[in-house]
Amino acid sequence: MLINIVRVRQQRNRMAIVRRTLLVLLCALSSPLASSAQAAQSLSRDQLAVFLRTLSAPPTAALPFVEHRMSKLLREPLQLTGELRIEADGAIDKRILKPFQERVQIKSDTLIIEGGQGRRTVNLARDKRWRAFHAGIAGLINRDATALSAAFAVTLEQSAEAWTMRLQPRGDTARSAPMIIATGKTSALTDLRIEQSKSEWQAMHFTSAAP
Amino acid sequence: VVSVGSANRWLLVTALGLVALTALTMSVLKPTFDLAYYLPKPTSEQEAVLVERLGQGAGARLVFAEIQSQSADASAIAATLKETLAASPLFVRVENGQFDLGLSSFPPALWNGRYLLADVDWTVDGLRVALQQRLQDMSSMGSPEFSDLMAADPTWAAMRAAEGLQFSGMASELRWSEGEQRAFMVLETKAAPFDLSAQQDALTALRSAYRTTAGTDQGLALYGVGVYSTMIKARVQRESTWLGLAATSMVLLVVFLAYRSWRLMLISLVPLACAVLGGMLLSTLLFGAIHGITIAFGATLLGVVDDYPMHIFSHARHTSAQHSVRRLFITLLGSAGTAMVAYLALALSGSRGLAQLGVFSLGGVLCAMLVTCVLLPKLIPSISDVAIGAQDTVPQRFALSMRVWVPGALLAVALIIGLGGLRWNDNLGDLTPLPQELLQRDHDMRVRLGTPDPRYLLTLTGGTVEEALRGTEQLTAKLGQAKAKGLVSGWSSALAVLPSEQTQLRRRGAIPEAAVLADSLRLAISDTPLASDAFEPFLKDAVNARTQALVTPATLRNGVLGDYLDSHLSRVDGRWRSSVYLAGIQSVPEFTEWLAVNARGALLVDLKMATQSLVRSYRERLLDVLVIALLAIAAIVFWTTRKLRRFLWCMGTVLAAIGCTLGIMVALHTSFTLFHLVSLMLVAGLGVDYCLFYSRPDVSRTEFLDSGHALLACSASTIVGFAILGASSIPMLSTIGLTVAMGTAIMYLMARFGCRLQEKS
Repeated sequence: MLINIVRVRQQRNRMAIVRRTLLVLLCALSSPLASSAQAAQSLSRDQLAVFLRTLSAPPTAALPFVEHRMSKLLREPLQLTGELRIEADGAIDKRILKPFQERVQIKSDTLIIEGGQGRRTVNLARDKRWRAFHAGIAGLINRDATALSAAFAVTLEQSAEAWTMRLQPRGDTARSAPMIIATGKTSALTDLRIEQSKSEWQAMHFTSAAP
Repeated sequence: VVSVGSANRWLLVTALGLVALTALTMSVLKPTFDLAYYLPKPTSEQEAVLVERLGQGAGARLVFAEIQSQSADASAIAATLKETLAASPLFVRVENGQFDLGLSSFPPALWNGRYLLADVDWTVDGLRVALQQRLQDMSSMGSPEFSDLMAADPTWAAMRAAEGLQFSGMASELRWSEGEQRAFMVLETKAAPFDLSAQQDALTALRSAYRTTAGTDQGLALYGVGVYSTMIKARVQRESTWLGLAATSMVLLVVFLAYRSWRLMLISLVPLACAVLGGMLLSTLLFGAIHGITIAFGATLLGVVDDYPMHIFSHARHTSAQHSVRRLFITLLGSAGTAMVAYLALALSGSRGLAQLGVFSLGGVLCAMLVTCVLLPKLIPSISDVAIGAQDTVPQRFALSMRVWVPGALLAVALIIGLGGLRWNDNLGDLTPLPQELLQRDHDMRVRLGTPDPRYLLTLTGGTVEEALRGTEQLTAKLGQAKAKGLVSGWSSALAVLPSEQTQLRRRGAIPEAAVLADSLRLAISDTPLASDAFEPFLKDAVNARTQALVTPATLRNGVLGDYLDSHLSRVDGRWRSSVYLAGIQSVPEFTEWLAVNARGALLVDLKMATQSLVRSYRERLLDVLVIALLAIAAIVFWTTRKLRRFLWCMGTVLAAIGCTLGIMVALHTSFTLFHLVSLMLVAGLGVDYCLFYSRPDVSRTEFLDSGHALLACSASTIVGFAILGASSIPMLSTIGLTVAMGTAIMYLMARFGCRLQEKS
């Protein structure tokens, strides 16, 4: 299915690091996570909001990525490399460079695919799975704890160095919509995995952060 | 002499008889709204297509839904509506731009016949290219359902066949939404657009599903021929109900003021009621069903019978009703006879619709005459013998002046010539009560969603289905070139579900044997990450397709594909006609020019022009009939009047009044339509009635004054009744109302002031 997004950005500003550290500390002290930092914990909306604020804002430069996609039809995962750009208005521009060239854009509610088969335009809101997936990505990009909590049950595993957040769809899309697993180090998102079933998944790893 | 008791008993019997007649009529009444019923026999291929496709075309069955939501995602509402309505038997298809990537999303006939409905390159290279494309698709659209579909059909044959059915297809850039607040849908109803009852059911189901989904009625706007038909029907019903009530009340008030009698006021309704019921009964019995237009126009034409009882009432003020009938019978017969001759001409015109209108009106007038002459005298109690004996019986002379009708005729001619002659308007669309903005919005929706323009289509015919389909294949191949030149943006044809046998045999023959296909697939997969055993479903289906029966109209008979085929392929007069509906014609002249060079066998049908052509034929036929009727009417008027001077006065007055009305209506409405013509037929009927009564020979002063009283009451009631109809916002009702009211007033004034009593000393 689609598009994976990551935002990674290195903290260059010391004040930002201090702020993040304080926020994470605050989060740790004020939540059940404080008692078991390594175990996966369900997050309330407020806890999620506190955590999301520790993450960096999405970078404006193109982020190189390597994506692995698995299907029951494949012997081995399909490997794709390309670049991902996230615009200030939330628009996503994913360019696959290898093994073929294809550009996938999400503008407003429209998915535009351009490649060897011409140009195709698809309504992004055309089914519930898409909508759930997009809600997850948009929630992460916008650090919108309210939207994420409404659409997903969120759990977080966190250590001093890394964290893993699982977004399990709620409601009538719980069975069909994919689970989103975001992994990061400190304030940066480094991996995004989308699982639709055991044999159908995709994992995107961001090879380097934006300067 | 009729006593009050006897009259009351007869009144009760009449009331019961009317109830029984109404019940009988309603029990056999079979109304129809098939417009083709009223059209004359087509004289060209364009008209033939129009008559056959009227209300059946793909573009005419579409309903466009625009969803606007401030609080929820409009696209989500559209998606839910699609899920809900796709299972409804009222809709052939429901689209919101979404095509589900799953096996269950394809109609079974399409899925099973996919390798016959779409071309597939079965070579190793062809399969390799297909697999590479699917791998790309997987990277952007992969899902468990996608994998199932790809395993069964990596060639995407079913998808390409299904795209042929869609208005825009997946490759389209057409927008089905604008932001989160606006979304668009296209629904095709199973019912024809003029099957108003079924259209209403479909629209109610749509609105109900929207209410359930969105939680409100607000935010849903619907467009399309069926929507407008039901909208117009509702509006016509609403307006005609209150206008009819108002007109009837006013007519009854006029009758009451004229005769100061509740009994006469009620009795005046009896001949008209019997005329309408009798006309409906006779038409239904003779034709099997009665058309809505027949009832509407027929009831208008029967307005003439409303005068009959009033003649009796006015004269019965000074004598008995029976005596009045005897004295007036010849004149009444002349008046009714002229109307019946005109309607007989319609009945024998050869056009099915006009014939029914003629029979309806003829039967109605006959019923009204019988009731007026036989039944009415029994319902009116006689006045005292003294009064009867006191009646003035001295015959008087009358001066029938040419000083009114001759200047009137000259004025009419001058008026019509001065206004540039009579301009016929055969475009019934100009009379639509729909706002222009709504029609523009309808056009915008069709352009946005790439749906067929209901105005244009290409047709070609063949002696057999195969011949028609082969011609269509050649035509659509050429249309591809036209699309590349930007002359047309798309089309829909029968080929999406039924290619020619020749093409199907070629496709079936191209499917390799099992071993060869497995080998080709193995080679195609070899340099991909795909698993070698992933495509077992595909191999099995492809091998089965090698011996599969060809797709035929019978294969598709039931279900969505059958409905689609019916609207694109039809049998007419022993030949098969294939219709290709066009979308987005940029320039009709350029496209016509291109067509003349590149696709000579195809006919571009402009349904709007064909409609106008048919209406013109209808009008010309009607005028021919009326000319013959006029001669017959003149003969009857001559028989009734027995004197050349009286005959000339009658015919001159009627024609001059009709001419003046014509001139004034042309000045007011700039052009002349069928509705004016039907209205003038009624005015002419009333005019003959007025003139015959004013010019009755050998009448006493009392009788002359009674005739004047009756004609004043008749004309006043007609003018008041039709003037109220003229206030309607519906152009058709307004045209009929104004024309009849104006014509009746002119007719009455010309007859009244053209005749003067010269009392004998």
